[in-house]
Amino acid sequence: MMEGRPIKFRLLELFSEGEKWNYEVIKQLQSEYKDFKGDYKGNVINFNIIEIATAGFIIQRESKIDTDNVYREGSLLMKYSISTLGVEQLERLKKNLYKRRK
Amino acid sequence: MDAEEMRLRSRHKRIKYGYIMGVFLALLWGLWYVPGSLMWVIDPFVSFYNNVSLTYGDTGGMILTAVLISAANALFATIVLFIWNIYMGKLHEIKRTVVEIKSVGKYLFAAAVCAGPMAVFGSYLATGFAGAAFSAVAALAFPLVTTILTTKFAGQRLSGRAITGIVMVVIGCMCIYMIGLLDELKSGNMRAMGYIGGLLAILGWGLEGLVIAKGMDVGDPDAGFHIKMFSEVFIWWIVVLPVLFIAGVPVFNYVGEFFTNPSTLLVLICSGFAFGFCTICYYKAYPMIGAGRAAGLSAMNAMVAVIVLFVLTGAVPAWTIVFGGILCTIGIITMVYEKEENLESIRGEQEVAE
Repeated sequence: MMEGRPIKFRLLELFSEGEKWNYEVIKQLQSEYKDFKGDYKGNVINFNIIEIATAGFIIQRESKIDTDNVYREGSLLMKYSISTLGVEQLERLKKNLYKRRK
Repeated sequence: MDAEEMRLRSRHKRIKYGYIMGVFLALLWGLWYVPGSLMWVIDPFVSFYNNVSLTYGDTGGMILTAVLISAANALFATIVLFIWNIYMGKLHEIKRTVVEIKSVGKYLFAAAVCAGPMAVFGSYLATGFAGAAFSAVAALAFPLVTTILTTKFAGQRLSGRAITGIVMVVIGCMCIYMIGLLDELKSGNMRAMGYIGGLLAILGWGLEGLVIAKGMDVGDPDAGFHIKMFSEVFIWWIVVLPVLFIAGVPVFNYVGEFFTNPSTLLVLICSGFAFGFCTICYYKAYPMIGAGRAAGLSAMNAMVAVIVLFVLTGAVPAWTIVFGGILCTIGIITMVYEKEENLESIRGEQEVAE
């Protein structure tokens, strides 16, 4: 539903599907959004994840250091779950979406 | 270093980044007062003022000049932000965000109305009908309104320590203008219109804080400030200036000189850079440290402006700046050395959804 919408909309939707690691979400978004390719844009997506976590929409559950080079060796990997507040925000967003032309 | 240590370090970096953005915001806003004040003494603004004050009187002329200056400033700031966003590769995200009017766009458009016509116009009314010191003190009170509104209507939480810090910074900055304000109050020249202007400024910037906080919850800051500034340009250039032009104010006769007069162009470019980057810092600080802290730090623009104008023009500030400066510094230290756990989320502890 949120594919191709602003990046934080899609992030909330992905986290609402269940607990996810940041690198999984980054890779998923990079495959969907053509303008978010590359390392730098990967960091931008990670920054957006940090912003919605700070806003209280997702909660950090686990963290580990990337030793298997799944994202970037030596970097911090974080697992997040959506919060009750995040679910409410996502529902509000879904009700107010711009209707795309078919 | 284990993962937990790395996580705490990453949180510390995020909070530090938020505070640095807040300090840069105050610094750039303060620096903006240099081109901001220069615009009042250069052409085409001076010739515009001389022309319209003949018809509309001194105060009317001043307000109309303020409108033209605000419009020019918004235009050049938006051009700077446009270049920034091309460089950052955010044009697609802007397009995706702007169409989501009900979820994000409406907040950014509201921010443009609150910050542009409401607050800027209000602060010029306050200056014209009450006095410059009154206007400055009124504008500086906005972080308190932002703090109250975002706590009440956006669910943001602040510790007692953070609130104390914000109040100290705001009062500290207000101290700079205390002597001027007392003189203005004693003179008995303050008119009701000035108080209305002051109220508009406080509410305008205060409400802007609330709507930005709401918009930035689900919008990207780079896209957010661009849409907000673009809306401001729309309000000034598509609504206000044409209405004034139809009403007989020759606003568009002076616009060409923005680009043909090299000194005007230079001042406007400097103004656009200072204001544009100040907006960037504002929108970046919001999601990192919360609206209250970001707005509180922004009050320091008054301190920076007084110091910069002293260095460049030799305008000696009132002695109360020393007292204000000390209060500000203590306020910032109180804020910055808050427990970092409090900033894990700007809305306090949250529950995991079922």
